[in-house]
Amino acid sequence: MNIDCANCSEDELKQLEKAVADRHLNHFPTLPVIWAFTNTACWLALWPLVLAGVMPVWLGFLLATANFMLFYLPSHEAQHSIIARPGEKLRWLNELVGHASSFPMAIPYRVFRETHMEHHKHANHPEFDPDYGTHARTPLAAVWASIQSRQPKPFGKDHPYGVALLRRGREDLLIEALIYKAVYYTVLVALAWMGYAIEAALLWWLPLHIGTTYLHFYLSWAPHNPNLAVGRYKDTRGFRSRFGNILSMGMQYHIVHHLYPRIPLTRTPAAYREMKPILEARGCEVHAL
Amino acid sequence: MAMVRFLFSIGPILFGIGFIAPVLAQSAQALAINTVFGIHIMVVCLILGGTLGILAKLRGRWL
Repeated sequence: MNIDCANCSEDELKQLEKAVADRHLNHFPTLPVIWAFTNTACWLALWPLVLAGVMPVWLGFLLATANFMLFYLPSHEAQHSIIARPGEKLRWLNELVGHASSFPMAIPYRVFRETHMEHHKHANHPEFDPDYGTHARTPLAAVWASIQSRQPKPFGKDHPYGVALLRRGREDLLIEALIYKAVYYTVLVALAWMGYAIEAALLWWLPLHIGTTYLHFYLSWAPHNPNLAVGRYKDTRGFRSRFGNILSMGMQYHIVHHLYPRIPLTRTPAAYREMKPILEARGCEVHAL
Repeated sequence: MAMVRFLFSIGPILFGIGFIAPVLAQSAQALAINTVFGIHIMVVCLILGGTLGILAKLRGRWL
């Protein structure tokens, strides 16, 4: 569908944009729901297989790394209530997907949701965007920034997620996050002293770090960098990944997500193509895709 | 809560001793390294892991 937006007024652009969004909103995200449970089940299955010696630890490591690259996005669909909104019949499924795909990352689903809403509200704001720490000038610097963001004192400061939770008055979620971390580290240490240190490192600790770096790169750095500002049509962009849309986790079309967060991930490419003339008319950075 | 705060404040040291040390020791043992200068590998790795943890605690970062 081609739309000529060159001479459209602000109101016309709004209406056209909304019409495109309406076509893609309120669709059940079947793939992310299947993906959530399959991915979590696969990762859990690695433990008995590797610990019993049925699967070599190197293969378990490769599969676990893939699992950790894939954990976040189903949780992200749930964070935006794309599966079901509060009060809807399938709300339990929405929350189950959120929890099932978040707990291996040792961060509670509710913490992801709260901090992610702050990211949407303040995207690219140096102080208020909890994901701002991954900003960097080059791809390599982005990887380093991601690693630095997971240090005990990221960039010499308190963790931005904790700061965001306190700013939002959500001490309860901060405690929940501490409990998750305590359980995560206790399990790692317990496994290590039971003689499974290498297995714990290669099935959980290292895959979590690699997966998080990958997520930071494609979900946080690539769509919000470089030189993007604050504002609905300025804080993200359409970009072309040299590894394609699937390996960049659909983030080439992240601009659609920031404009209409409840459009399912699998529908953002189509929504982007329909919306592109409108986004161009608004001066968005969509020229590369 | 004070106890939790204390434990998290020394988290890097606990992680160094509790996790990094056995990971290093079991990796070394997998390579048939059981002693270093006559000292049991577990002792060596506990010293190494603990030192790394203390440094991470003081610097606020592992890397």
